[in-house]
This record gives sequence, structure tokens and C-alpha cells, in this order.
Amino acid sequence: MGVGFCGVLREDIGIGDVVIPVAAARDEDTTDHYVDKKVPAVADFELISKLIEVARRYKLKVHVGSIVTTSSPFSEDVEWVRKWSSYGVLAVKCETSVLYLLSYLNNIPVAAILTVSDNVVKKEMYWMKPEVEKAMVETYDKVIKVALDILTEIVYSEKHGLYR
Amino acid sequence: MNTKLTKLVGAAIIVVLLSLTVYGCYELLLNESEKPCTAKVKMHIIPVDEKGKEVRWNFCTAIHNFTEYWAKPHSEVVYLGTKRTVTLNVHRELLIGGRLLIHEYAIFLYNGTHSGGKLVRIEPREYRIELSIRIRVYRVSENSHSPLRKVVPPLLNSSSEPVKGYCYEELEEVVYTSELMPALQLHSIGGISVSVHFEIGNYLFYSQKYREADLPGEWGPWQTSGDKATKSNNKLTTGSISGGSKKWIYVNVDYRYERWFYGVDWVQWWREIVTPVSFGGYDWGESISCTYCEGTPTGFVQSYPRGTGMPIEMSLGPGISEIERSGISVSFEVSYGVVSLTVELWYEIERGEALYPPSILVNVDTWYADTLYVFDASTEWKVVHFTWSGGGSGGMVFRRGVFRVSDYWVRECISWFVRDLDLNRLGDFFIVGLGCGYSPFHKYLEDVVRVEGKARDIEVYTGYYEGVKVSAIATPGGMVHTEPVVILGGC
Repeated sequence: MGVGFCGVLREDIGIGDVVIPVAAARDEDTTDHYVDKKVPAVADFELISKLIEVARRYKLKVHVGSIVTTSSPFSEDVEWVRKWSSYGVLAVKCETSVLYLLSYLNNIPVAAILTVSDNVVKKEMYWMKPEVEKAMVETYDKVIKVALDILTEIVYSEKHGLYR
Repeated sequence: MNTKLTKLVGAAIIVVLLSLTVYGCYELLLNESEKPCTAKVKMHIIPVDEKGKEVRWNFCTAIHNFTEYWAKPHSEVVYLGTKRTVTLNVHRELLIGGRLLIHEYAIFLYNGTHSGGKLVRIEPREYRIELSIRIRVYRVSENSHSPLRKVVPPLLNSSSEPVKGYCYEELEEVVYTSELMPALQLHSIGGISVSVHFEIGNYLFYSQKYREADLPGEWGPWQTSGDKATKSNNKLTTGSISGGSKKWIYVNVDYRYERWFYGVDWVQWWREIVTPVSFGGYDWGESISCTYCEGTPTGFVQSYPRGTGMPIEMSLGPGISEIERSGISVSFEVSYGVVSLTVELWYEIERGEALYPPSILVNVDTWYADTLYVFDASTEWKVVHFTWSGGGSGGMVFRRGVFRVSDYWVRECISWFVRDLDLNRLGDFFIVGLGCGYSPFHKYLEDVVRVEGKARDIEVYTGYYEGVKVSAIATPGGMVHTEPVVILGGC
């Protein structure tokens, strides 16, 4: 289970919201060393379903969709942001496509839940407003609990033959 | 005229002073520029008795450099005197793969009544290294079969006063010999053939021995100064064994005998030192049996599914350092006759000066089952065992999956994340924070233990959340951390 932060590529997603990526575009080349670029980096469907369910239970503002992983966070210029934003990609996060694809190839169920720390389109960072930072930290704490709750639910479900 | 002379003398003095200053600056510059090439190793030498308690008597200290280099004829005395703290300049020689040459020094202590010796291994990673080296000293009468000479021990007259004992060491004789010595065990099971490969510069460890005499021919018992790195001097792949055969591999070890005449003031002794230097060439040793092969995999386990590319290469070591086999005989023909002694093989293998460690090469001739399990039974890959699937696993299985990297690197990666490569320290599930900070990551876990291994920038905590054992792994961001995280997930 990946837990972390991300920057969003859409104006309507706020700092402190949560992004649950079902897939990550591979704008990096680490995974190219393993498989052809046509192979998608996707999360485990059942883990994603549970993440959405538990995150909503914690009353988090959840956005589900695809994100992009880049190997160069310092080359994200306006054009790059505009391009990926126009594809409907929700957010950018540095490692998710590698985590997803390598886990998939190794038959390890994986999913990620990301707290929004900045809005790349609006050029806003969490530390610019104290109340935003506070909200983000609270969300991040809840996100860790969401991840842990899911693991206990998996164990419970496995015991009762409900999962896999 | 006088004014002219004064000016001339003044100019000459300025030139001399300037020259001295320039020379001083040059020296300083030279010292500074030399910094990366040498490390200052400060050794605090502490003689101790049988209870490990420091003894306060004065000793002559002789430090012999046993670091091997090409065509080195014998050890060199790099320090001889009565100081308890000795600083050596140790050359930082970069080896292929970024490792530094490991230096080995044998430190011998002696005064009129007691003596001791210890082999010390130093990898000069830092520019300044400080070591406390405790050396067990024995009464010479315990060592020697002869009574002590009736002389006043020159360095024993005072415990606190500085002693101006005249210490000396002179080399008398050097003799080389070569002996077939046990190196490691090679195991096989039905369906596979197995061989071993050494790179130039790989290390095996055999003991270095010394003994002393205060009268010619009156030698004390052999003492062990330590486990000496013995370097592979050629690239070597043995023949293979198969079909369940298990045997010792013997290698030809080059041994060096040195006899030193040494002493303090008017008291003199002889010291014989027997040092394993290098090895090359092999022979098959005796057959052995194994209770682990074809049983339940234990220790560190790797699984290989049907269709895995051949050969499978299993890197050996590095790991535990303890005596594996004793009583192996070495003989020299020296000027006064034959010297025979027994030495030990240590339970230790190192990649040493090579880029890769020694390895076991496995070829599957017939797939007896869908999966071949390869495991170390907690020998830290000193001995490699095999079993086909179906036996269950008592160890932690690493599923290789898409990772083509050698298992040596896999183990290295895992050692960053978990201490002592002990996968039992990890939970059944991982929560991974890539680049998201450390502090809050494990806050909801109970009975939390910090378990990460060698990495300085990774924190791993294992604890329980509602009864489920979970590891919270926090790493810096980037792909370079993501791949090993997934490798860890495969365990």
C-alpha cells in the first residue's frame, strides 16, 4: 500500500483532498527496462475499491482516476502541465507507475492513496496558508489510518473467505 | 657600501624565508592533496589478561603489515616501539566497484614475561579512523616449553614510567609452500548440476598462526592471531556435481612462513608466523551428507519457477565469522628442519577485491517439479541447499519475478531495509511512503520496533494494528527507491 503526497493537475481539486489513482501514466523510463511502454501501470482493483470505500467512511474528499508519474519533477513546465491536464489526468506523483507496474509484474497486490499537497495548475502549495496546511496534515493522518484499516479488513476477509 | 651589504643580506634573508614559506605551503598543499589517498588510523592498543582486564605493564609493540600486493615477499614492520597509541597512514586504494582495499596488520606485543598477537583488518572508508584493539597477552612461560631466562624484564620495571626499551625485529627466513585446503561445500539434488565460481580477488579466510621461542628450538604452542583474508589469484570455475552428490571443494592455498628475530634490550626471542596468502586451482574433497537438502527450506530462500533462464547464479556470503574446520595440516621445509602446524578454515566468504562475490552456478537438467527452492539454512550463503517444491517453506521466500539482477544485489537491497537480512522483522503487509517524510508514518502502530538495516535514508518500523503485523516503510522519493521496495514486497 503506497501512501504519500501528490500535486494535482486540475483546478477543482483542493489541497487536503485525496487522490486514489487507479492507473499511472508512465512518463518515466524505469519501467521501460522491464516491459514495453504499451503495458499499463494499474492498481489492484479490489484494493482500490476498498480504498474508496474506507476513505469515504473517513469523510475524506476522494477523487478517483488516473495520474502521471514523471522521472523529472523539475522539468514540469507549463506546457507539460497543460498537456497532462488536457488528458484528464488528476495528479502527478513521482513513483506510482513504478510501484504499480513492478508490483503487478511480480504478482503483488498494490494500491496507493495520496494526499494533495499542492495544486500545480493554480501554483498553490500547502504551506502558503496555515489553515490549508493544517487541513492537509489532518487528511494525511486519516489516510494512514485508511491504509491500515484496509489491511485489517483484508486479514479479516481472508479469514472468512471473503477476499480472493 | 655598508648600506648595500645590509640590503643584500636583507634580500637574501627574504629569499630564504620566502623559499621556506613556499616550501611550507607546498608541503601543506601536498599533505592536503594527499588527504583523499591516505587515512590516518589511530590504534589504541590495549593488552588484556585472561579475564579481559587491561594490564598496565609496558610492552614493545611491533606492527607488521600483512596487506598483500603483487610479489610482496614478506610482511613489513610499519611500527616498532613502546607507544600504546600508534597512528598509521593507510593508503586508500580504490578497487573496482567502489570498494577500498582492506588492509591487514598483525600487532605483536612483548616484554620480558608476556606476549600476544592479533590480526586487525581495516577498510579505510573514513579519512580518520580510531580503533581500540584489545590483545590478549600470555605469560611467556605458558607459551614456551622452556623456563624463562633469568633476566630482568626490561619493560616490566615500572607500570607508569616511560620506558626507553630498545625494541628490534629482524627477518631471518621466508619460505613458501602450497597446500590443498578445504574451501567450501557443494551440494546437489536430483535434476540439477552445481559448480562454484571464484573471481580474481575473492576472499576465503584461513587462520594466521604464530609461535615464539626464547631459546633456539624451544618453541611455544602455536597461537592464532586471527582469520586472514586469502585472495583468489585466478578466475576459477570448478567442474560440477549432480544427482544428489555433495562434496567438499579443496583449493590450493599458498602459505608463507616468516621467522623473525626480535627482542627488547638484551632479551631476545624468535617468532614464526604462518600466513595464508592466496589460493588458486581446486580438487574434489570428501563426500558429505546433508539433512537440509530436499527438506523444508529454511533461512533465506529463493524460488525459481520452471522456465527460469540458466544457469542460476547464487552469490556466496558475506557473513558469519567463526571456525568451520580445524586441524588442517600445513608443513614447511625451513632451514632448521620441517615445521608442521594445524590451521583453521573460517566460516566466512567475501567478495574481497573483486566486483562480484564467489558464486554457485546451478543448471537444471530436469525439472522435477514446477519450482526449485534454493536456500541457505541460515548459513548466510556459505552453504547453499536445494529442494524441489512441495516441501513447504520454513524460511522467507524471495520471488524473483521480473528482477534479473543477481541475487547478490537483491540481498544488498534487502539489507538496506531490514537489519541482519532478517525478514522475520518485517510485517505481513507494507505501507510504503515514498518521499513523504518519516515522523508520522508509524504513529498508529502498537509495539513498534525500528528494524531498518544499513540505509541511512530509510526508516522501517514494524508494529501491530488491530492484531495485524504491519511494516511502515518510509524512503526518500524517486524510482531508485521504488524498485527495491517492490523487491522487498516479493519476500
